[in-house]
This record gives sequence, C-alpha cells and structure tokens, in this order.
Amino acid sequence: MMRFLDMGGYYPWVWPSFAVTLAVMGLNVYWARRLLAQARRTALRRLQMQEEK
Amino acid sequence: MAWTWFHRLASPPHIYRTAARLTPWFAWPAALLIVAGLIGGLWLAPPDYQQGDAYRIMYVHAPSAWLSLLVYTIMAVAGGIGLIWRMKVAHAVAAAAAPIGASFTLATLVTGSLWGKPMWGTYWQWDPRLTSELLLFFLYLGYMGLRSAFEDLQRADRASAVLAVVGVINVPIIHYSVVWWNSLHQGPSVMYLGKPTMPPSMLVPLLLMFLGFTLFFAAVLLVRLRGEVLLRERSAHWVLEEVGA
Repeated sequence: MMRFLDMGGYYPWVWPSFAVTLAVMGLNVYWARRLLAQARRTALRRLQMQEEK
Repeated sequence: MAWTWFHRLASPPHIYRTAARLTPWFAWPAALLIVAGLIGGLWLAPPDYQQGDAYRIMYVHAPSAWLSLLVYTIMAVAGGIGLIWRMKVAHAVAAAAAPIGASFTLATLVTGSLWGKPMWGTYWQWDPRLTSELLLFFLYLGYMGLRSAFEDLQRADRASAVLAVVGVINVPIIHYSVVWWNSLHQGPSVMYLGKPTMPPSMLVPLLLMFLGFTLFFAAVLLVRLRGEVLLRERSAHWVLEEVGA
C-alpha cells in the first residue's frame, strides 16, 4: 500500500493532479445543480406572484 | 420533413424535457467508466520505462485537455448556429458549456504544470502548447466576462457567439502546436500516424477516461442547459406549468 501511495517517489505531483481534477468534477456537478435549483426558484417566485395577482 | 428534428431542437420545452430524460443515461456510464479508468490507470497499468509513475498524471491531464478543446468547439458551433438561425437554445448551449470548459482548461494547466515539474524541472515554460492552452483559458474567461457585461440577453448572446466563433481558430493551433513547432510538450499521446503509441495496458484505461470525461461533460451540460433554458424562459407558460407541477 505504501508503495502504491508513494507512486515511485512522484506522489507530490501525482496525487495533487488527481485531487485537482476530481475537485473540478465535483464543483461542476455542484454548480450545475445550483444553477438549475436557482432557475426553478426564480420561476416558482414568478408563479407565486402571478397567483397573488 | 427531414429537418423536423432540427426544428424540435429549437423548442425550449422540448429541450428541457429531453435533457431531463437523458441526464442519467450519461451520468451513470460516465461514473462507471471513470472509476474503471482510475483503477486501470492507477493500479493495473505498469509504470512507464522513462517517466516512472509520474506518467499516470496523463490519465486526468489528457482527458481534461480533450474536454477543453471539445467544449470550446461545441461553443463555437452552437454560437454559429445561434447567429445564423437565431436559435435561442443554441446560445443557451454555448452559455451552459463555457464554465465547464473553463474549469477543465484550468485543470489541464494545473495538472500539466504538476507533470512538468518532475519531467522538465519547471512548472511552467512559454512553450507553444502551454501558451496556446493558456490563451484558450483566457478565451473562456473573456467569453463569460463578455456575457455578464451585457444586461440585454440577446446582445450578450450575439457578442459572445462572435467571440466563440473567432476564438475557435485557437483549437487547431493547440492541437497541432506540438507538430508545427519545436515543443517541450510530448507529441500525440494516443495515436500517431494512425497507430497507438502505447501498449494496451496503458491505452485502455486512458480511452475509458476519455469516454468517461466526455459523458460526464454531456451530463453536466444537460443539467446546466435546463437551468439556462428555465432562466431564459421564466415567464413562459410551460415553465410555470413545469415548476408548478
């Protein structure tokens, strides 16, 4: 296991590379879901305003 | 008759509902392929005879670089369609794709730097491939900045589409930079003169990652596209029915 984590001595560059990429993927999922939720909330507010009128 | 599908693509409710239906069909295979690619790339593939285990960075660097080029090309095509046919959905596709492309271009630059340090002895070099990729990142930032500079959505769509179409010239420059100029960056990683440049034990995980990243992009794009379409059509009757349901 330690040999695997050591990556032949290249661990300071290999693991941060994978971490950065996985973080970018996670952020993309989060941002996409947030945009959709925000858009739904905006549309819902508009619907409530129309119903109040 | 043959163009019916094209006209349906211009319909925001059709796109919204189709995107919702398609998202899981891209997301789950993407997750499986990426996990398989990671297992293959990190555990099963042997170390490289020259680069040792540092070459494993390629399993995230190369698919990120692929996405950085693919997404900009899609933005340019969508922008062109939006300009020519005045299709609002095409502009929404380009706007939804831009942050994804920008983030993967940044990932390409960061992972490339992390690969460069042990291999070249430096994090950065003003090399044709690196410089043109950095320029692509600035094009993405410019595209998003330009969109947010306009209050009028139609003007933002048109101006950013022109930038996307003009900027796409950088995509072949990035791709062929290692062929056209003396570059510190290695040549084509997957195929050269129609033949693979690496053994199957290294190549297969890389191809799984390429496909997984592409499907991941498609899934995220579809979710963002639904948000973009809802924001643009927020006063439309179908949107109110959709969120009220």
